[in-house]
Amino acid sequence: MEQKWAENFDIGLYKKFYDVWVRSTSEMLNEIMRSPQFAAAMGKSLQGSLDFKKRLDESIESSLKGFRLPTSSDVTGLSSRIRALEQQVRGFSKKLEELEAHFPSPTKGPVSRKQSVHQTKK
Amino acid sequence: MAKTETVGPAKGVELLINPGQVKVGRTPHEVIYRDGKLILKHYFPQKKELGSTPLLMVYALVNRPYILDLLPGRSAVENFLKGGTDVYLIDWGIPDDGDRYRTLEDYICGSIHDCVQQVKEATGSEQVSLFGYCQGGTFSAMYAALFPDQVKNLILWATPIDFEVEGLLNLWAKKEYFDVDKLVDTYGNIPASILNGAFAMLRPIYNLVDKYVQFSWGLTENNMTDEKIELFMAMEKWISDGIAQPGEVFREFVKACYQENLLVQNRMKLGKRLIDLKKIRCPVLNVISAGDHIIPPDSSRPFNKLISSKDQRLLIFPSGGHVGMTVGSQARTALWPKVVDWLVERS
Repeated sequence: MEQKWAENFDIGLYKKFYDVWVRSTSEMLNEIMRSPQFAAAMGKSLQGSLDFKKRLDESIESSLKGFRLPTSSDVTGLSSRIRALEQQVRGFSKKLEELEAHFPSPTKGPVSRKQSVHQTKK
Repeated sequence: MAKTETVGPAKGVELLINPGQVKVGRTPHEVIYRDGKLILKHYFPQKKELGSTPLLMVYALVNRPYILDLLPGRSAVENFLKGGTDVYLIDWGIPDDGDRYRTLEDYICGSIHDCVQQVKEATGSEQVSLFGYCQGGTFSAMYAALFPDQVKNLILWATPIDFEVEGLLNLWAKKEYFDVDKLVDTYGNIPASILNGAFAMLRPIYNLVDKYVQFSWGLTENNMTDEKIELFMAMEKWISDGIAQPGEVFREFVKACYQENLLVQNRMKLGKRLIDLKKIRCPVLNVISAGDHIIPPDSSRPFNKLISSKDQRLLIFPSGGHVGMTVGSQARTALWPKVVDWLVERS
């Protein structure tokens, strides 16, 4: 019986069936996903999951605060301050470069950008 | 094992279990500049005679830039090197919480501009050629409009410019469906899982079922060569190697581009700088793939009409998708030689 089944097994037939399934399912899903209703449902689902995450984060934060441990908001606040400082440093560096270009140091001479490039090589 | 020999299911299963063993980004290079997580790579030239203008490649903030140097023979970097171009590539690194407040202005007027200066200093060139892929192409177009004197040539590769055209991402990101503020305020940086999920949903049957079925059939029927398996696994590695996108950049990009479509109206601003695409006068090659399911061809096509360049070309690759146009077999023979020649003639 098994041998007979193996003899009659035609993979080509299964492939044809599979190809038809892929084509028809893809077309159907594509049509669904292109609809405004799907976009709206996806938006609502995202909103729901974000609401849940927000509540979860708030609950975790309030627990951590009780133990005087740094929270996600603390890290975010620090990130924001670091970014502001980075921008200030970038601004100062540019101004220094401009000054160096106009008033080269009499002892060391101007620091060329070429040197700074090689210094960063690793 | 010879590249053309077929391999059986055992090798395929072994690779499937451990895709990490596929080595990507193998073209020899050095790092010439670092700024935080950003590194600027310089690829060692493969020809003695180099064109006078170096090329700076700018990748998107989605996934990793090694897609531009995936495997030997499947590498955009290698193609340009073989054409005699001096190639540099920006690797943005993997963003963390410290990057969540970085803006588009930081990336474009800060990081890209700094890299352009580094390339100019390293080569002595007055200008650079820019190659931008996907979102990196949008960044490159913005940069070329803001700093036109810095850019000798501009190549856009599958680049979204007009976000009003029909497309799934354009639809899903509309203001009425997608609250980007809430997403960014909740997560900070946008997790790779959310971005990858959205990309997978663009072609769910292919991405989640069909490509694995085709791969398995290839193995069982013994018609997979070593090279084909390596490419499949390298692609799997790249797809699963997603990274988060900095929150503020994502918010700004979605609002200004996807929801307001300001770039094509010349109304988009980075800080106080207004982006006027008409200020782009350099030679431009805009390459799009007719089968791109991520960036609809109609999203890239209008760019050539929005700029002032007299020397400009729209190159449409008839087959292959968003990634296939970069690493696919047909792109290797039918697309890349044209692109490399275009640049060589203008460098």
